[in-house]
Amino acid sequence: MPRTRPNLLERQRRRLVVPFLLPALLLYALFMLYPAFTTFYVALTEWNGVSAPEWVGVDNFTRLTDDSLFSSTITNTIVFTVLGALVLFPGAMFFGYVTQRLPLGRLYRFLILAPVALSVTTAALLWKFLADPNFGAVQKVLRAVGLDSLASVELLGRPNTAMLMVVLATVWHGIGLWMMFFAAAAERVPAELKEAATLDGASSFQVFRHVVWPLMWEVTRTLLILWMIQGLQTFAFIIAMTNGGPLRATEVIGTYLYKVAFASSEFGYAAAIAVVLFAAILVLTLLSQRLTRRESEQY
Amino acid sequence: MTTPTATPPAVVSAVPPAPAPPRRRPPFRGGRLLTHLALASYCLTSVSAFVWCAMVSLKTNPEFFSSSPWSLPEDPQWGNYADAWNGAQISRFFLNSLYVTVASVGVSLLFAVMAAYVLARVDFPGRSLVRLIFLSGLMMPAFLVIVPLYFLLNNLGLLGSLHGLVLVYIATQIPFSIYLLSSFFQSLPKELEEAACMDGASPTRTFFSVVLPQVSPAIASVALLNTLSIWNEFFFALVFLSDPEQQTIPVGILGLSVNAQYSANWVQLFAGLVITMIPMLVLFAFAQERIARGVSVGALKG
Repeated sequence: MPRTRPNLLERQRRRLVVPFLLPALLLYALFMLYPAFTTFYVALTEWNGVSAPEWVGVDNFTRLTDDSLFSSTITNTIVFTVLGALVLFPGAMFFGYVTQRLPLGRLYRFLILAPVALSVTTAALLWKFLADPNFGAVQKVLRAVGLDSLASVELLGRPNTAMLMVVLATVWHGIGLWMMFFAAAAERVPAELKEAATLDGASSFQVFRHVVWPLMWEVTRTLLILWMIQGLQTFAFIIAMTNGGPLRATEVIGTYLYKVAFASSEFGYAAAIAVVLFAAILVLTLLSQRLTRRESEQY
Repeated sequence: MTTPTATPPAVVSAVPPAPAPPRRRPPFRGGRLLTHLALASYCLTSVSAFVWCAMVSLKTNPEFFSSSPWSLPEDPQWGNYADAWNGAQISRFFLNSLYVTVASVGVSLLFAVMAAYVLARVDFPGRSLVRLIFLSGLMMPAFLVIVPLYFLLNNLGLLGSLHGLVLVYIATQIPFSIYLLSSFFQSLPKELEEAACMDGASPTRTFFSVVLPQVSPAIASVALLNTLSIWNEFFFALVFLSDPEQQTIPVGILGLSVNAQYSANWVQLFAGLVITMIPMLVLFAFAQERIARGVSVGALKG
């Protein structure tokens, strides 16, 4: 009798497979898998959404290589991602490591995390209006601290400063979560190791540099790739703050794709951009998986 | 004898209040002060953005342009909030967001829990393939599906409707939810299920009354994360919802900001912004740790 028990359970459970899997699988297949696969077909056609798609082979992709606008959106996307990483990573790392041990750490953490609760458009609009030359508060502050030349600049109206403002708003919005990623990573470092180093007279910076950082680097690598994947898809802050302007200085892959599809109705061309974007994300994802696998082998 | 440290070593023992044993910790305490200074100034800047927004929302339009951005409103205009809620249709956006979030998070969670359970517990042919199919959704960007999805919804007559958006949201949440939940199911002991089976409970009953209660903390975490991401979802909502009557908060508020440039009714817009901030800030205040932990588990494993 005891022998048949697991079998009975197993047999009973097998009857669940179809009814339990089917709802999730059906919706997922219809609204994600099917459109995802169809994009690869659409990318090989010319299609305005009204008449039937016309097969053009790889024309859309060769057109992409000649499209100077597309290459400038790639450059802008890279600039966004790199600038963002330069601001985000040191900041998040510092906040994550430091707030762990400070007496007011939890309060700081809440305040740093709070913007995450805002919707992307709310956060973007907040910064757009803060930087507005007519009534923005940033200009007033800049004047007050004597940076008059900077205060007269239309921060979102100038190509060089617009991207920086978008980056700052994006980082401000998301830095709390990245702080938590780093805090979680820092917690993985054995406490005895840190104590031993402190007893040996290491300053807290030295502890970080020589004990925590080597162990955290593995996680940081993975997080960098995660940021790159997000950076490639940046969209909402650009749409809400600059809509790609001024002079297309903040046009990124996502906003370009959106306009090609839903403003110009060139759906085949938009699908081709989506395929290229997906390929880049796929490469980054595989890279991060390889890194994580190696990491788990080491520990 | 000025200070205890200045006494020669020979008489140290004679000094009654012996100085604390020399701790070998770095004497430089300025580091900590600097840390506090850096954190406090960042937080202050961050909070002042909120404060500015709240103060503008209580001014009048002329006052907004004439007064200093950091001045207090002369006579708080609480009417701006009623104006934004009713006149600017924030209430409509709010209800739309609420419906979309509750419906899609609820349904997708139910389906994902069921699928994750089967995938984690039952050994059936093709299991690893099905798992792979679901996990592949984790790296599909919204941009990859947007064009065909737009026409699919159009053909189904669901373009521009909240129901269509709910269906899309259910589908997009499924891969991540299954991914997180199946690891919880795998860590669960099997004895209770076996006991329930011995007692003659049907597998469905076992699932709902024995298994689900055990994973409810995990379900709560996933529900929170999904709520946060759906409440704030922007891209699909922007593409699929063109009628202001049907828009969710992230898209609706963007439309309001465009209108404000013509109507110059800025205070109403800012009151609207404040209203949209509140629910998630409250949720965050209560569930901050849980959300943050859930997100970092997801990110660091993925």
